[in-house]
Amino acid sequence: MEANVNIYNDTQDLLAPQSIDEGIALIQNPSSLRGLIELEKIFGNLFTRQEIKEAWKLNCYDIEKSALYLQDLAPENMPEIHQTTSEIKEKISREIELNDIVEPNNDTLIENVVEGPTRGKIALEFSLSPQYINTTVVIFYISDEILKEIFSFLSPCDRGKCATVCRTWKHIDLSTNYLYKIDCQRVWNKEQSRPDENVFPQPFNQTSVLWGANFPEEYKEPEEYLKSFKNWRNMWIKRPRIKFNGVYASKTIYYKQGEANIMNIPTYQKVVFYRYFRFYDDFSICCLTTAKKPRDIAHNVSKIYEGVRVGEWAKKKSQIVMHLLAKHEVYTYNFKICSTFSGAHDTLRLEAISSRAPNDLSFSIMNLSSDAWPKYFVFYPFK
Amino acid sequence: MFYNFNKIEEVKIRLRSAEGHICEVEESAALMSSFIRSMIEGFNEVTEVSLPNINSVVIEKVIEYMRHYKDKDPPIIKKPIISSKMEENTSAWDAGFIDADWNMVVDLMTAADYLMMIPLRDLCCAKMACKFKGRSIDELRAEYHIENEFPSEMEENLEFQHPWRLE
Repeated sequence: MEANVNIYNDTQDLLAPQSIDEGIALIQNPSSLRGLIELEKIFGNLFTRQEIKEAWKLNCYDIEKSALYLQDLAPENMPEIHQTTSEIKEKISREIELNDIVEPNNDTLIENVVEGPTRGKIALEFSLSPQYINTTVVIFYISDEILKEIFSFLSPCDRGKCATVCRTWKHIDLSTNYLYKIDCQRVWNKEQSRPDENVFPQPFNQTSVLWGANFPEEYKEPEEYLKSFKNWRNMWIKRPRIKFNGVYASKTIYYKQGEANIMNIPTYQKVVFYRYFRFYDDFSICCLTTAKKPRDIAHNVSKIYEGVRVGEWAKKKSQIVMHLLAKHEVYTYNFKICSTFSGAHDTLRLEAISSRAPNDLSFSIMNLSSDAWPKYFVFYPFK
Repeated sequence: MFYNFNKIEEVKIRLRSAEGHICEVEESAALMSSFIRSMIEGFNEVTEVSLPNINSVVIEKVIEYMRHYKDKDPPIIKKPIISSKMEENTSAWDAGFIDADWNMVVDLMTAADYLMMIPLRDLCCAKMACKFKGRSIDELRAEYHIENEFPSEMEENLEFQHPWRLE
């Protein structure tokens, strides 16, 4: 046992990798450690360490091939392969005297720190690898598998951020698309579980007929639609969703004719107001119409704010239907979720509005072409 | 004749580090590592395991973890982590245990990966994820010495490819 230990200590410079290729070969094939020691035991009398290592390198770090290669090179009168332990001990002590091998201690650990490259994937691996890289037997890096493990602890927003740091991380984000499964389920399973009836019975105390012809009959999206996304990450990007961490705002400008002035020329008043919608994940919604600008009020819009109107919403694919309760009537809005670029889902396009009295099933469709109705609602996230 | 059964000591496993130091650990604690378990079960009466790529400081740390969770299961860390502070993601002992510098965490993680101790590896991964969480891209690049590999036109595109990163 002791002899073996000595071999281990002695062969440390044999095993210390000289290049990155060697280090990788050692990691990928742990048995090559013992193989190298065996090679040196057998051919140590005939070849120097350097030659053995070169043979090993020439044969693509394969121990068996390099053994055959060395055997070809060796002269015919091979010495006996099996040596006794005492012989090995003698040999080692001789070598230590000759080469003056110093056992690694704390001082040498610090001196041997490698200056790693500063660019690219290798640089990342170096920055994540231990500092005493040159002194131990085996180099080890943080592998992609472990980076994937780390990514699995991050939220999708942090993963999206990490993916823009460097190419390796971008590749890892792409190859861990299964991680988006939980996030997809969190976002859309709730939506799919919406009851068919009205969520708020008052004043919508009638059946779903109240919703009108444009109401999506059921909220379950067909399986073919889900399969068309191919993988979870793609679904996370492409499938339209409503964001709850902000408000959808629109600006409306129109001109109103005022009283004529002294010169009898009619005057016009410019009217500017904003309309804010905030969606909640319990299928309720609140709407605020005010003249205040988004940066002043966007983060204050909530159900308890003075003057808001409440209602409820439903969604199918990119279609949104919602009811808003006004004083004496119910407004039904039809929206379509649009994106300014792929995956943004930051705009609602107004498709139709109809109004009715609460107890009357007949409804009237509003004319959207007038200036009083905005065409788009843009998303403002909370700070 | 009375045998004092209390005197029978538990078998100790000797772990040999990269420097050649030997650390002893009780067998029941060491069995937490699947690697050591397979060594013990595969070869009869093995009491010494050589770990040539783990240095002794890390082995001491691993043994501390093994002894603490000898009789109980480590807490499971929820995915995704909720905060960049380790105390809010896991138990207080775990957070104190992993509160070390970057190199130590990396060493511990590679050691845990090598020894096949999944709870410890997850703990280290969560710690590193905490360090990534809530950082801006420039901070991450500066901290881990990553140069910006993307050309400037591509950089603008990246923002559009990952719109959810600001959520």
